[in-house]
Amino acid sequence: MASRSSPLAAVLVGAALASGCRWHVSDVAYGGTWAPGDAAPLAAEASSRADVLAALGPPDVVAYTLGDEVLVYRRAAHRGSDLRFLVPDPGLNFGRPGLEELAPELDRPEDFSSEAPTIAVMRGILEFAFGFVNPAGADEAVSVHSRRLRWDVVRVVLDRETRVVRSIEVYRGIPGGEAAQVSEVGGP
Amino acid sequence: MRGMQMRLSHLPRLLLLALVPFASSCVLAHTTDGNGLDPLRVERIVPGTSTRADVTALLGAPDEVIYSNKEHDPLFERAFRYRRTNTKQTALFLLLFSTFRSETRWDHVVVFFDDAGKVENVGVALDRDDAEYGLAF
Repeated sequence: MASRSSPLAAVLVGAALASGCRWHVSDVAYGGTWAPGDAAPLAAEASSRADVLAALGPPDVVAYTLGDEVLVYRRAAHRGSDLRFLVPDPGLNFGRPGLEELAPELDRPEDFSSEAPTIAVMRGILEFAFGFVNPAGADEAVSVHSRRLRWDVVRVVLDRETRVVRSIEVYRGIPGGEAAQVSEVGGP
Repeated sequence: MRGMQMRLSHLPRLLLLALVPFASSCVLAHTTDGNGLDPLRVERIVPGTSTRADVTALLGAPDEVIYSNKEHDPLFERAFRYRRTNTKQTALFLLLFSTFRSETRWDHVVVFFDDAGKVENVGVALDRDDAEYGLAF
């Protein structure tokens, strides 16, 4: 008897643990394909806007002050893993199939008339199936985790009249993680 | 009685099998923002020659107009930006493990104009097709 119940208990405990804790691996890349090193050939008081565009491509931000033209390049990335604790939403979704009778005061619009019968039927089946899987929760569980995008940023300041570079600042955020490095190639 | 015990002994496996469809999922998502930029059309933008009208005739209306007017000056269209985004996302959710990968690339062109309204510089990065599906490891 014990041999029969222990696998069942293991399955149930495993399923309970699995719904509450998960190891998550993510890889996110956003932005241009330039690298901070691409700014190395640029020099203050020498490089032009054309040189900047040739080295780094089109800027993500173009801004103007009274005397400057500022080009900003940004790219983001995240690669790492974290442990996620999934906490079910404590709020009951009374709109779920099977629970609607608990809250008869909820106003449910009857808007199925504009839908094709096949779509309405399929929607009903999906809602019923999802409500069966998670009848007491809302659409999403709450996931407690952290993910921080790292940014590489290059800021190039040009003279807005001559289009010559005044200064270049490079902010390396992606490879080093916590340690941010700011290097200023040139200044006024 | 023995047959009943045999059926009960399969119960954990059947339960586990029944859980599998609800415990795992795989997602491939592809999101695009506008059509890609034609490299041949971008190449026809010639600094010193092409005008704003030429640029819009080649690439259409810009996604962003960048102004450079000083205070009290009339608006001056200093640059046009064209950016068409392409995002591919891959997600896999298992019982104890999940993975998510998202890659966003874009076709991006910024055209600068001089005071006469002719093209002065062009910045081009056509990386939209570089976005790929894949796992995060």
